[in-house]
Amino acid sequence: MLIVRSRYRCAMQKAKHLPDPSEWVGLYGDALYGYAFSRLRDESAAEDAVQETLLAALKAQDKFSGTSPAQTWLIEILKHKIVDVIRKQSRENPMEELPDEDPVEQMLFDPKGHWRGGLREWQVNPEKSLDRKELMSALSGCIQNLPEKLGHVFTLCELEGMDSDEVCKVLGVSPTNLGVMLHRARIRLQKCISEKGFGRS
Amino acid sequence: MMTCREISKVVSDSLDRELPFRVRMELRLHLMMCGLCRNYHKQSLLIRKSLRFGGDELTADHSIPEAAALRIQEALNAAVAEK
Repeated sequence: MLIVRSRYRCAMQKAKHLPDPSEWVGLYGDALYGYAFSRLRDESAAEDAVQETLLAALKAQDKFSGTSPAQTWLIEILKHKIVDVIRKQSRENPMEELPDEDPVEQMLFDPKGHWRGGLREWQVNPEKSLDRKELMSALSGCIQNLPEKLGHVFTLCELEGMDSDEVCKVLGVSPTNLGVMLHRARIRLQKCISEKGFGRS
Repeated sequence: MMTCREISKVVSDSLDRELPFRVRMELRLHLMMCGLCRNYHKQSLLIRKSLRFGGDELTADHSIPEAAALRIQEALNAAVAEK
């Protein structure tokens, strides 16, 4: 089967009309997949989310108003599908009890709770767009390195901006555990970014 | 007095909800005295800010695998045919 990978991809992505469904995978497949993969960290889960998104878009074609580009509209649908995938994964593979001790925290803090040297200060100027871009790419890589459950927590709370009560429901965790997991995710991210060489030695 | 480890948790909590006055004061005092926690705090805010303003741009640099693209296109075509 022929998949149209249009040479006018960029122009088409900005178009405010909905191209024919036979062109969707070629036009939007990579963008949707990259978005899904960065949040789900799993190939087959990302593929499923993209497929579900396009099938849902097909059913909802009439609702596309054209006020925003087609890709933006598809990403909005994808966001819901990502939450669905995470919900399903959490149901099939529920959270085990949260370990009391976190090995990464133990690595960073001594038994008295002091930093063992602390994290390197990042050499980044958020006013500079190049620095911002580099930071985003480091963040993206580090989010992908998060352990599955911590990654889900971080994705829903920080990337999708979901309300914490909602997140607790989706993942089946208590608010206290959610707080602990967010902390563990954030401390891992900072450690990871520092190790990527953003810090001065 | 909270330890740096406890403060790092408070910093995380402060991103998610309003902290009680007493905890807020202790955090503030601690940050005034402790450069390592100050750095942790600053970088926590930077991550938050970057994702709030650019989160939607965060995307993995992966193309959709060809086999998946074909499969999804077939599923779409089948759904179109059913319509």
